[in-house]
Amino acid sequence: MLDDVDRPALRWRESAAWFPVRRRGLGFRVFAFNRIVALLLTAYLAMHFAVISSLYLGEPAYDRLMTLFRSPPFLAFDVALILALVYHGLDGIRLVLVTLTVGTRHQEKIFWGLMAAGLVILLYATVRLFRI
Amino acid sequence: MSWRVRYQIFRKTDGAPSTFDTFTIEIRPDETVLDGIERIWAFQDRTLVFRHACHHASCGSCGVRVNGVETLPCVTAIQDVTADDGRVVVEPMRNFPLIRDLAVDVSPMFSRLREVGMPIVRGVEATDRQAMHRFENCIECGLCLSACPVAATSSQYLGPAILAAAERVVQEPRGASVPLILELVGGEHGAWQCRSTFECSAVCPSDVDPAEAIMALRARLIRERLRDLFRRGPARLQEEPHAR
Repeated sequence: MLDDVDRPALRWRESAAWFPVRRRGLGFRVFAFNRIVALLLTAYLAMHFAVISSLYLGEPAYDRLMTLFRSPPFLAFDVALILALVYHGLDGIRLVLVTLTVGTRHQEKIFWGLMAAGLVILLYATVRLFRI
Repeated sequence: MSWRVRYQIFRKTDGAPSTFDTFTIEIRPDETVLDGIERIWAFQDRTLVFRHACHHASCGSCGVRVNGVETLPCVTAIQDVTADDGRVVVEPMRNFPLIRDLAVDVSPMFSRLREVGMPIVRGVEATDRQAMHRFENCIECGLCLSACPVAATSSQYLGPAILAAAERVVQEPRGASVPLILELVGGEHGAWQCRSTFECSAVCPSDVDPAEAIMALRARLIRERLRDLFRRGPARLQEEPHAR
């Protein structure tokens, strides 16, 4: 057996094996994208806590931030956030279904069906956001 | 009609850094990737180490990654992975200890298969020649383990082939202890580690569909847990006749 197969570089390459999606199936791509989205949502949550903490700076500071967040560029960011939440949540429903052996062999069709529903939710949410 | 194909083959020997060696060969498009590897070994580099035996997807010993995807090179035609004047990248399977070049040590997989009762090969009852007959589709090639992203990040994960085998035992115990198997697959490194990428089923050359087997195990484990909620006394996994 090769004695240096546990080198850190090789270990890192193996640990990152979940990421390269080239020539992989839909399930693998959805899984990798889901992980990335989860990381982004975690980062968003941290940012959200930071923004809420601005209340400590007083009401005017918080109001200024809220005004800024209602501008179109930030509303576009909100749309991206809803997209991430909808994608992550709906794919979670697919995972629950296949875990309960509901449509395991049709999991790709279930995914696309849920994504179609997600698109409707996203469009509705976008319209509502920009009408506020 | 022959094609000119460049093989880029992963090389690794003890103590040396890994490299990719390039070999150019003439090969017919309907020949297999393994035909090319054997030609390279026969005419260009006798030090190339790789595993193979049956040449018809029965033994499962030649599994490698071709252009990044796990496959049996003995049944993969050149025309399916490249074009004339194209290239084929051949690498060893992931998630197994590397022996050398394209050869990996698959013994960890067999050790774990033994933990779940080695259901793939079973002794035949009432036979006078004590032969071992194959009853299942799995050819123990290990491609599913190589393709699994969880096996890549957790060395203790049982993996798709083992979980599929365990599901087979649960389905048809033939005297094996189902509660013990369920305890093993319901544990920290068992069925719940699966991330449902279905890549194991995608690369399986033998239609075992390990992903579906893992989902069936999970459903069975959920049923057992729900029963435990309404059961008096200490929780325990029960024998249950399995019907599909």
